Amino acid sequence: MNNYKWYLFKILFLTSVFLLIVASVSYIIDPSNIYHSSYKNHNSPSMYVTRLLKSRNGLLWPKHSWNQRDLVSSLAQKDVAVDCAVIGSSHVMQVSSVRKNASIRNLCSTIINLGVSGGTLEDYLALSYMLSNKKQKPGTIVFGVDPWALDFNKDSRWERYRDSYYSMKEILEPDNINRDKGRFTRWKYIKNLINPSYFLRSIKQPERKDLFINEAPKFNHAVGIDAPVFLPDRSIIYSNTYIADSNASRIPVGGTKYKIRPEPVPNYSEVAIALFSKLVRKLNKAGINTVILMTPYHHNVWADMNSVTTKALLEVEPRIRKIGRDLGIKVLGSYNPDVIGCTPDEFNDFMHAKRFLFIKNC
Amino acid sequence: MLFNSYIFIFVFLPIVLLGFHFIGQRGSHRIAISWLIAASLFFYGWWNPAYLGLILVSIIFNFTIGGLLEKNSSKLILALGIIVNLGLLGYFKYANFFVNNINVLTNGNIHLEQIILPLAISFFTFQQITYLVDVYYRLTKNYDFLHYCLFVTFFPQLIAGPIVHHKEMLPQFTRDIFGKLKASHLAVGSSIFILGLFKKVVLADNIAIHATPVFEAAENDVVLTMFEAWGGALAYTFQLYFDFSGYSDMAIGLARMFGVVLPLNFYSPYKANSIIEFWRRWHITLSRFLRDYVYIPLGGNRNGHVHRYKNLMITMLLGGFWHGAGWTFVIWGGMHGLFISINHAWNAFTKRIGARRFGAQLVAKIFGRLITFVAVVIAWVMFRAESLAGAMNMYSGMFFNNGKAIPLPSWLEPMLGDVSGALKMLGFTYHGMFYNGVFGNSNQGVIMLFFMLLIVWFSPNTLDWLKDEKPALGLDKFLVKRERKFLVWKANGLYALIVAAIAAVAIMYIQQESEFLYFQF
Repeated sequence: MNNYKWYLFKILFLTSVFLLIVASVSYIIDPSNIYHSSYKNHNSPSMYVTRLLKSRNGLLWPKHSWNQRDLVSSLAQKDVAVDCAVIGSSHVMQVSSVRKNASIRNLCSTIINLGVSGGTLEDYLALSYMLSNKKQKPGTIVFGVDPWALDFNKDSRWERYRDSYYSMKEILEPDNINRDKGRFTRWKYIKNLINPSYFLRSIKQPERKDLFINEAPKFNHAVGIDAPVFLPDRSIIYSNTYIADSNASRIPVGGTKYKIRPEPVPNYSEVAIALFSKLVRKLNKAGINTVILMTPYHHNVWADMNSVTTKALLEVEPRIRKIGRDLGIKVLGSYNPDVIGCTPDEFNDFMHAKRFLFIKNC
Repeated sequence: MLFNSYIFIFVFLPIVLLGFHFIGQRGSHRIAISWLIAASLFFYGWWNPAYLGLILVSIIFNFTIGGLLEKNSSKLILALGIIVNLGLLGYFKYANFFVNNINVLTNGNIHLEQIILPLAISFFTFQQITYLVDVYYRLTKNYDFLHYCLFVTFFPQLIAGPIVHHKEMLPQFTRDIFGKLKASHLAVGSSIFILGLFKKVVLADNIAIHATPVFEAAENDVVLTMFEAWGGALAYTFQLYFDFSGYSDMAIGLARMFGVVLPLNFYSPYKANSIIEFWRRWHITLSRFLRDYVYIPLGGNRNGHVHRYKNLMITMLLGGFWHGAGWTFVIWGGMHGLFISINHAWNAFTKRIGARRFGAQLVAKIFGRLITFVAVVIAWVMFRAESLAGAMNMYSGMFFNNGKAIPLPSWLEPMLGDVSGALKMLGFTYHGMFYNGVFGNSNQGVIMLFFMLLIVWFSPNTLDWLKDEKPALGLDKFLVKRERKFLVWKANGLYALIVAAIAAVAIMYIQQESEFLYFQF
């Protein structure tokens, strides 16, 4: 073999070795528990949820812990009697029934909060499937609908419970099951093994020492403690540093373009809306009420009516209200903070309202 | 299909290379060429199969006109060819622009549906116009249709250049050895491709997250601080540099894998000591086209200074307009026309007074690079902005007009004690350098800008590194005579290790495909 051939061989071989090392580290450490369904130590999401429901002040939520979707799927399947289950993104994770001046108390006196980061249409289907298949079904499901939520594949994390998603989709659209979706998602899983962010998270977390389940002390919910805490209904109280930082941080005018698409591409899909409508009708038929909740964006976002985010909010909100009218279900809240009368200090950042706001929402 | 996508790197490219090799091994030169044309058309059709018809019609039309011109050098036939080419480009690229402007000027209401720009039309149109002009002047040989077809469609250069010249490409396609893969070509080509990929997906795409929000904020009338505005402008300056440099390397590397050497298109332009030199290093094949087919036919520098400046300005305005149908592009071209004219006037002035003897050249070298760089950054703002208002908002931030205060970091205030009050009275504020939060993670952004500046000013470029392998046509005139022994690529284990590490990182970063900026032109 001449020099050039050797050189080519070495490049191919070494590149493969480097990528294999990266993929192995990501796979073995797996900081988000994407690849390992069984947990290595004696604790588990199911045990965490059992302890959470029995806890007095809630449980600590350590930085590197179980996959959020593992937790909510455990919680959704637990037979616990509640008035409402809240499904949505991080925007609804502070909706609570156990805090003082609890949010949405007018609607539900007890809730379980199934909000997850990046929660979207696929999460609605998967979690609704779990909720509707257990003995003690919630009386109402509150869907926190974000401007990007009524579309497909706006976030890939729902694939954690893809079986539940496809089971519900098969019920709703028996003639329209696209099994090819599975191939696409498996490719995403494989690609994630060499994702630089995932690899960096993996090497920063050689051991997960903090997976033990620890009860939170009694504390002031408005201030927080060192770690985030899940209250017994799984609503979240952020850590004291996060709360302090968010109180001090400045919110950019026009907001930031998170999962929003600029004009002329619509931020919702009519096909997704049709699927969501089928889901609502199915749940209603099974005796479960449904409610849509829109959580507001900060006043600074609305200070620039031409920003990509504001335009999207103006585009999506009327469509959501029309869905509510068409389905005959309640639509609570608004993306506009002035509509629901909240103040700029009631936000963690440009799109996350503090829990106080939800009282006004409902 | 993008060069920086898994499907291109791991599926399309290996299949095309293997097919080419398999056919070439059997000595089927014409079939190998047909295979490459088919692959290139597939590559082009991947975006929008509907436009395959357009490029094929364009090829057939131009080849036919070329054939007619070979038989009869008629100005009428040449004019027909050029008019049809420019008409096609004008319709797809500029029709909406002209209609909108007519509506504004006449207060009219002419409606025209938004026309989608077919990919690469600016590039393949220019390539074919040069061909027609050269046939008219009897500067071409008698090419056959297959070779001509590959000259236009060859996928490494089809989408965003270089704007290749038939004299450079067609003789390479007609050689007997074309069609046979060589390990040396694959080794050199893949190394250049990998370095280009790294520039695109690691450097350009990661600095883009600091540029885009700033320009979007400016479009939305956010009052930017000076640091945000300069940060955004510099971030875009480097984004465009690494994006285009990366693309050019990838194109050169891909072509080389097939044994084809493309012309040099990009040679460390931010190292230029003058604007004239900048345009000899940035998008070299476009500059060459504008010089040979616009500036010189206009009269060039033949009729005195005034005519020269007029011709320069016209050429650069057209160059700006070629980049996009918008006034920002025209103004950007005009700014560069002005810069080049000033540069020529300065050169003439220093020559007349004999300043060169007194060390002016040394001074020019020291300050020239900095002045040139700043001028280029300022002009890029106009190039990137979506509207004139957005550009003006950026300039307002960059040149102290936003409240006439220099923002200082908030942590500095208590450290300054009494001085702080005095500074406040002078108009200094302590809101923080990145007050609006649109520059992203500001520490990370500033560090990236600093390292990127070091790279573009001081490090040797990819083609320097591989200079012994003659990676691009026209590289020789840029290479310094001083022989540098270190940092010269060799097909050895050390460089295989370095290139493999770079390849692994680049492959990791292809998580989300992002288009090359020059695709839009």
